[in-house]
Amino acid sequence: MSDAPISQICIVDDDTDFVEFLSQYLGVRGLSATGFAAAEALLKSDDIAKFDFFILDLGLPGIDGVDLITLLRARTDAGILVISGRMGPDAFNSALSAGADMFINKPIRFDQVYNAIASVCRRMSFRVVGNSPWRLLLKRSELVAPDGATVSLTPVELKILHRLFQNPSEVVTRHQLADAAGIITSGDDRNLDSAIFRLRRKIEKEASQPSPLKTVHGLGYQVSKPVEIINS
Amino acid sequence: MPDTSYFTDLTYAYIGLLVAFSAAQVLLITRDNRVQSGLWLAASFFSALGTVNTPHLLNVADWADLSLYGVLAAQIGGFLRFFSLSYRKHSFNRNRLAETFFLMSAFAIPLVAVPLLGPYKLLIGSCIGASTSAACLFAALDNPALKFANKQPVALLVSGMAIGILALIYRASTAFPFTAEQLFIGSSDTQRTGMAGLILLSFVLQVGFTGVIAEQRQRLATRKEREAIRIRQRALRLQVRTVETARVARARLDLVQMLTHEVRQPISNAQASLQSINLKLQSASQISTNAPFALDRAQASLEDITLSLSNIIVASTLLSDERKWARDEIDAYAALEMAILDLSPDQKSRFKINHENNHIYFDGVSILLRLALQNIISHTIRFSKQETDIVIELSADYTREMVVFDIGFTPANAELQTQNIFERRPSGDTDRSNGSSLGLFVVRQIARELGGDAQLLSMAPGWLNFRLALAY
Repeated sequence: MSDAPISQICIVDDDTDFVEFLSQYLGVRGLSATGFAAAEALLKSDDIAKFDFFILDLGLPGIDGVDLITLLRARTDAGILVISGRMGPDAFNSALSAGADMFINKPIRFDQVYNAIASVCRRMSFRVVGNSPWRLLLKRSELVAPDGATVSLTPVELKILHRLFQNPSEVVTRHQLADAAGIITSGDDRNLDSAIFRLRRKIEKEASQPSPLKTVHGLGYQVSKPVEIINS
Repeated sequence: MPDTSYFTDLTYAYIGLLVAFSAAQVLLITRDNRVQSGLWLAASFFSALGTVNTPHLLNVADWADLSLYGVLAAQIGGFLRFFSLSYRKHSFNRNRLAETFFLMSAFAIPLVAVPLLGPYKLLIGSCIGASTSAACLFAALDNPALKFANKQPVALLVSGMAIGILALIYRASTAFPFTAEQLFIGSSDTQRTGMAGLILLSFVLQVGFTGVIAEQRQRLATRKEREAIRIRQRALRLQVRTVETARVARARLDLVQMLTHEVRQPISNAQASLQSINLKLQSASQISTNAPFALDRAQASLEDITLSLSNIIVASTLLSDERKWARDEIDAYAALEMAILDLSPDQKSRFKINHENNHIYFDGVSILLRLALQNIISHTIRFSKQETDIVIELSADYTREMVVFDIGFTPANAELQTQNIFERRPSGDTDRSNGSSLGLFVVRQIARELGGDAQLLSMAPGWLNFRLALAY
């Protein structure tokens, strides 16, 4: 749990046995956990701010799990892990869109919960440093990750990132990107897609974190993290 | 000799009439009446040719040697008219009376050329004409293709031919006294009236036939309109049925999912309880040696049931649910570790994982990926030789732009079929060689949902590889 140390975990689940034994297990692994049987009990307590990680069930009595995620996300940046017996796309989609960091299905072993917490923490560590943006150094042909890791770029990779970073909210089509990078697509987008694929793998390898490039299926590409272009 | 200028005028009028009606009939030709109309047009052409080749009628074509061919052409025209009026869809309508008159005409034609019968030429010619007209009359009366709601065109056609028969019989009766110089069309007042009458008759016939094909065309248009209405109505019914089927399918899916969730939820809770009991047993000082074993068995059974229920839920969702799954960013290695942790400790020790040092992130659906990996791993355990290593390799395929999970093992059964293993078999299938088909079927459905595919590959003798490749 070294990626983003956490001290207090909140578990909200109406299965009190599960809460009790998971708390015990996490305690053995060095994590302090407090359990609540319903969302109202958590919201009434003054302890929300002290928790830096939440494990939630969706099927809660009273306030539903998805509503609870929305309420928590409005108050905190803490990691939120959903553990639910629901398997359909509705539950999955609504939990993620409400702001959950990860969704896993019951049944789950306690060591899997621990691994899931670790995985979310790894992403949280990116989120913590994520306040500083990915920076593209044009003159040095380098991409600097929020944590300071540097990725050297080829001229084509630099052009691709430059085009994407110019307007981070914009979805750039494959055609626009190929034009900007001077890639000949010759009727299909394989050359461009290969270049993007290699670039993402390179960033993940050298920066040890997810690349800021996101595929928008059927449309093109977009950056999904804060970015900045440095001309000097 | 007849009054040439009068007959020439009448002949021009006759030819003009044929041309005008032929043009109208060509305009009315459709796919359905093309044979009938074609035969009639050819008949008109031969009738005109017969007239042109009659030397004393037209001074523009005064080919005396061709006069016999003129008669022959006119007779061919009559025969073609018979075929036209006998034609029905793709065949000719058979009528014994019509055929008898037709054969009588056909066999009588050579008699015209016999020198000995020269004085009776007019009589024979008139009889042949009357017989051909009778053949046409009976053919038209019996042909079902000429029966319409509007009977006027056919009535006109039949009346024209009936009058023609009477006129020709009358002309035959005027052949006495018999001489070799007799002309079919002479210059007496009766003959002049007869010639004008024949042209009028021809007009009636052309009007009748044009009316017939116009009626056919109208009938075709009506039929097409009815068909279009039927097609529209059928499409509408299908649309309603599709909506209803989709509604029923959705309702059934909801019921299946509700039922499955209802069963799955308490099993999940039971599994959590067993897990908790297991933890307590580990810290207990005195326990029966059988207790942990029994607990593991119970947990394994519940895990199998849960996996099957999860497969049913996901299969039904992927196959018949229009709802889409949101994508989240997945750490492929963490997902693999999560799937391995689903195993019991003794099974876990068989798995050796090789992967690139860095994490591979890709857009996918984490709960679907976990289920796919669970299914592959459980089938790998089932298919592999006991106590052999199972090797998992995780890599990024740069050329195909895929994240690839390779799970290799030594098969317990050397005859294990790698083909069609991901196909779903009917539930009543008794072939147990490859175990249940639903799990691997779900794997392939998930792989396709995530833009990839799943395969079972034979990599080397005695070594098989499950390959799950997902779009990066």
